[in-house]
Amino acid sequence: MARFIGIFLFVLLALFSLEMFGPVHEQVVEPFTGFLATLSVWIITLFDDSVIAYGRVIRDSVGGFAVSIESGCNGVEATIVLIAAVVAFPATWRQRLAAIVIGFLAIQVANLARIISLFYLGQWNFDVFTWIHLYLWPVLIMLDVLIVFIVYLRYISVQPTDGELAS
Amino acid sequence: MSDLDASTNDGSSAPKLYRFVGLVFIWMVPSFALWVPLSAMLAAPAVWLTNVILTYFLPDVVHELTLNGTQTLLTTHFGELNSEIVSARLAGYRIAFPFNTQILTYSLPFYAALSYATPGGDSFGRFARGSLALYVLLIVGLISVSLKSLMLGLGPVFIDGFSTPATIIGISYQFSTLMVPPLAPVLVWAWQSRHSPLLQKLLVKQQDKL
Repeated sequence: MARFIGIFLFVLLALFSLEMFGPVHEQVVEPFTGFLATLSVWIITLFDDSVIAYGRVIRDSVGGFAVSIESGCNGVEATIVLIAAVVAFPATWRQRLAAIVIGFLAIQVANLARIISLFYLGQWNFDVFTWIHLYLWPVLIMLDVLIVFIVYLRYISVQPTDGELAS
Repeated sequence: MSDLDASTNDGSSAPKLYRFVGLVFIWMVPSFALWVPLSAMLAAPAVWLTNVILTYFLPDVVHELTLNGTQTLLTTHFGELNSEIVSARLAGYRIAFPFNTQILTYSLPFYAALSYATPGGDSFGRFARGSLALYVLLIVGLISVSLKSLMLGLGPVFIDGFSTPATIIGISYQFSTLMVPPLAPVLVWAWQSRHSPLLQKLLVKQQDKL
């Protein structure tokens, strides 16, 4: 257990520091966040064509309301938590990679729901938007990570380990 | 049988996970409903302790840290005169930085929901011990937010006389506000639930490696 906690905290802090590192943030995180904004708008325009995206900003061209997707709202931190947990837990690298890829997708599905829901909540009631943005959605995203990790643990608990495969 | 009881190897009791998640959602409603009116009271001891720590270690910078509702006000010994940071006596007023304690304390209702959705044992005692751990992190978070406010608000006046590099302050602030509030409740809950049937069964094949 101590080994798991040690590796988890080490990977968590290392990846988080890497995310905050200027060139990584500019070259990887910000373009990814911009992509999320574009993807969100693409989804929204399936049922609402008055929305536009530029950079990390999603804007309603009629009402003028806009949201900017910032650090903490792009699912990167949640993905880092998942990666740290998956890497820290004993499994084959194929299992770990699959968990990270599927988990990343699960987190981003929830994150797109967050972005789109907040965009409309903000137009409806700014106090509700603020409350749900600051306190509820971070909890829901972390619950998403927890569920993905528990499902992953349940999956690998019935899979043969490296040693069993070798023998 | 516990709600956290694990699946058998064929996954036949898989819905138990959904039941646990459902219970977490159900417990989140009263937890957050109680947290909203109580959050100022919950933050007060942490703000007081943070005030003691900051005024002890940064007596020349921090005047006091006070709480007004859920807003904390970090008052400094500095003011601004002709666009320059000068002593408060010279400026005639004190620069102060407000911030919202709820961005840190929402970990408590989240943890309450996780804890009470996990049956078994002394649930109140477990919750009290877990909350205490989160409280320590809350104080660390308040210190991180305060240092970031001082760094950005006072600039070189603060940084030049402070031994911790700006990068460390920035990362600790981001970590304390983005990572810790949603993650710490899960970690505390997982540690306290490590002997629960769910985690025991999930770890059974891997426990030698752990």
